[in-house]
Amino acid sequence: MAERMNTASFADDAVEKVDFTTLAPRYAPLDMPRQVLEREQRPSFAAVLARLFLRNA
Amino acid sequence: MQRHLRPNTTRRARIAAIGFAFACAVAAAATLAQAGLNTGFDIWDFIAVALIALTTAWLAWGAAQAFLGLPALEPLPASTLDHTDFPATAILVPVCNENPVELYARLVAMRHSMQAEALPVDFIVLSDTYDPAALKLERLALAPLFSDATAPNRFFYRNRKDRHGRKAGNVEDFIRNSGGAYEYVVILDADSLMEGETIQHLVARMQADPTLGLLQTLPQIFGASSMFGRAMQFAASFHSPVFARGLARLQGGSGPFWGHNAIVRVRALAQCCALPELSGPAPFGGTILSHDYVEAALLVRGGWRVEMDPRIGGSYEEGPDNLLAHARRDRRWCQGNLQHIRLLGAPGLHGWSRFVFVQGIMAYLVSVAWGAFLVVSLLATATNSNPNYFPNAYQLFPVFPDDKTFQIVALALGIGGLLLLPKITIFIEAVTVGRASGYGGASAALGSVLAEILLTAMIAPLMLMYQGRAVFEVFAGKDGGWPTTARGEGRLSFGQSWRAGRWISLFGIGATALIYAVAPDLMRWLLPVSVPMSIAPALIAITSRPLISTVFSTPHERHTPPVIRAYRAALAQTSAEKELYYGTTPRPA
Repeated sequence: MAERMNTASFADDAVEKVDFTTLAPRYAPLDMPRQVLEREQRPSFAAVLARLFLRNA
Repeated sequence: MQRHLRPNTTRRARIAAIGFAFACAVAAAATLAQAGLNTGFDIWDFIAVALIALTTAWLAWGAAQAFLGLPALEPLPASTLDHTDFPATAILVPVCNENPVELYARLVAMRHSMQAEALPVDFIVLSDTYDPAALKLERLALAPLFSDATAPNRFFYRNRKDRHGRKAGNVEDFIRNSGGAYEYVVILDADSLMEGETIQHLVARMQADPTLGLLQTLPQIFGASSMFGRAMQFAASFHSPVFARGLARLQGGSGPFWGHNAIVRVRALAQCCALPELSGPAPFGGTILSHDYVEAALLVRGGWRVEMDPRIGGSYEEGPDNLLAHARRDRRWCQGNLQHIRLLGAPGLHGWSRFVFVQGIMAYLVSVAWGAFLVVSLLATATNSNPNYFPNAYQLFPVFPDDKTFQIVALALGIGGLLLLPKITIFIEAVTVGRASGYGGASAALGSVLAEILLTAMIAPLMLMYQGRAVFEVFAGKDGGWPTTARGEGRLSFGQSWRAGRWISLFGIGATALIYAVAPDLMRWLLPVSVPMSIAPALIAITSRPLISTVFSTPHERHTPPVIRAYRAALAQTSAEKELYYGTTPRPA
């Protein structure tokens, strides 16, 4: 990109006249639940034993 | 439901395509095995048979799509929409360090088209531009749109500081914060163009079918000027609609989604498409690069229909103008598709969605398989023992080994047929239905088809090398990232081409010398691969040159669609900013 851009300075009055913060789309939030694509790691035998017998140890 | 999308039709199409690919693979494997048996079947023959089965199945799968697409679909359903009750719709244009002048011209052209149809859609530029100079120029170029926004089309703009999730994350950020304001979003790429009439049709189709989550159009490539670009543009215009019809018949209500030039129901997108980061580092972990296929699979998992309709016109995009730009984009797609290996076991996905992932993965692994097949064939020939004319102790007459030329020629013809037959049948279809007239008539279209086949055959070994390297890089753990698309890069010098293609050239010359030394009989069979490789830099440079000829002409070049005309008119308007921007770069055609 930098190669394609002319690095000469230019008047940026046009940009300064526009307040870009007011141009953001209207705030209207939507819930977007994060999707699950990876299965949980299967617990090891030791972990299963620990869960069964040592939970309250 | 339209006839070609009925579940039974989809099922029959899938069985036919899978059966055809399987039959071709078995035939190729049996032919090569027979050739091996004639001279004694060793380990190299076994590997070669396995590889030829895999690669032939892949070729046949592509051919099956073309054959399935030969019959026309029923006419496009009529779409009527009451403009007084037009659903809230936004056109999303995600950008990242793009050419701002061209972006401005595209937005002006599409606004013109929306106003011609009186469509009250909003334009929303979702900028991820991070280069400070590029951001300044982007704002400078787009500023007139905001001060001159004429109702009913409003323009919105926001620049993200946290570029989390790249393009999919950019769209997700919009849906999370502003999605509630819209019923539909039309997702475009920075280089996309769409007619107002098309948007109206897309909205009407979504309104007519509440189960439809996403409707994908088949974008036509426009604006190519180089030999490579125009060949791709011609292929996309002439061959792709038929391949896409076949794909639509195969996919039914399960996709595909190509990431842009599609309309999406915001509720479905919000419900199903917040992509997670994959565990572990890139290239297999982190942000999902080829997000579109995953989003299609997730929409289907969520109970939504995802359709692609190649009959919808008025949808355009630009393509890479030279082989290097194509290979760079392909590197990203390769990493993204191979990343799907991680998702094959994702919970709840439909079987066909998993199969689509497998296809995407195979698209790149097959290049490696072709390369491996060539190497194994060479090794099999080199390690062949001299024939034993007297295998028995007491034998009066010699036993001559069977000649395997017949099997090899049959195999070569079969594979050549799978490569060429789809294009030949598409040409016959185009002549039969009168489509060829848009390409200058039957003889001009035939000339373009033959030139495209020749060019594709010449650059195929180069693409095999680039894809092979990409696959090895990904498996070696090298993250290619997501470099900014070099649009309109245009003509490459011989120096640039030499630097990018010398490794292929040296490999080709070295391989040719090796083949000559160990298996000179194979030389003539491998010439179609070794010659293009040896002259790779010249091919890269020559195909990037402008091509002004009737060859590869398309209907859109002959009769420019309104939105492309408007885009060029907007681009032609001079301004001090444009002069500055184009001070050192050529204007696009």
